[in-house]
Amino acid sequence: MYFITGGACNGKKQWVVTNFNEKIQNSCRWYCGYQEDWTDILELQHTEADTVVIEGIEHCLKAYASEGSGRSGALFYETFVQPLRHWEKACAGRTLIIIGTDVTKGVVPMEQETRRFRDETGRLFQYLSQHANDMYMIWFGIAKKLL
Amino acid sequence: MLIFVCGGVRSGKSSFGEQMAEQLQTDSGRLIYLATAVTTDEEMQQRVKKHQQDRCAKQKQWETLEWSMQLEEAAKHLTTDDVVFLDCVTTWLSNEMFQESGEMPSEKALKSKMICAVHALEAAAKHVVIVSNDIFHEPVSFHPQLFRYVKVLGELHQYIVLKADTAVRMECGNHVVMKGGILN
Repeated sequence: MYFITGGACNGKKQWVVTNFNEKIQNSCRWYCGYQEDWTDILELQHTEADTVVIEGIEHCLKAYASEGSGRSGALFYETFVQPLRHWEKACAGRTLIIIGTDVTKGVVPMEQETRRFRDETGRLFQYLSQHANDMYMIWFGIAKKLL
Repeated sequence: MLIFVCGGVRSGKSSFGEQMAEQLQTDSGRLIYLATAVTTDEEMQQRVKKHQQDRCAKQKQWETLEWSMQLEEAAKHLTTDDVVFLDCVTTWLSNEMFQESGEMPSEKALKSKMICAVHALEAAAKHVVIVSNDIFHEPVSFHPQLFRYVKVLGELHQYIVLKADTAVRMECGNHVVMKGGILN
């Protein structure tokens, strides 16, 4: 699993498109969390593609967490990311790429729901970082490998 | 040479950028402070005053050019030996994007205009140091104008970093070189 993070509008998506070009061209299911229904993440493990990209995972978490106070970043990881880790490991040649915008460094938000979203995003990103084989931070198009 | 310095508020980006500009100055060229801020209230006046006093206290002589938008015009006042310190892209973009006339240029037109201005400055001066703010690490606003602002600024930063010889990230007064090298 690759985990790609960095601030908003820093060129994360473009970096993935450029650096995984062959995999993306060949056989890829690109899931966009900003446009698709978050529940569709569960369907990704049944894809016939060899590469799965999740763009905007923090946005999926936001939608998920807004539907119940017990819905944490940890539970999100277990329910939605773990099955994809199993999918990736089940067959050689499969690749899971997760892109997440780091939303954790601004002023504490006024709204409780936004505060919770930010906290849980921070926690989810720690899980992703712990389990990723490679992790990159993108800064205006420049990648720094953290793991 | 094009140098980009980016960081959060009070991260020391102006101070570091000014130091770089001073190091790059030669005997034949001027040190130009290209100020984009518009003083709209007392707080802003105080901030501008603080920056001006800091520059006066320096040993090197700075000249200030105040240009809140259309920086390609400012390029006409430069010579090829000058070192320009542009502070900062964030206020410049606000000025270009939220005009008093209510005119709302398209994202494409804005980017293209500002990129052309950067090229004009680069062509007119010896070195250009550009400072900007990192505002990209909090939940992105759904307010359409704010979202547009963040998007255009991010894309401008990506372009400037791509073209820059040196790109520096500021963290709590420390500089992290992300691209190229800096003078000691």
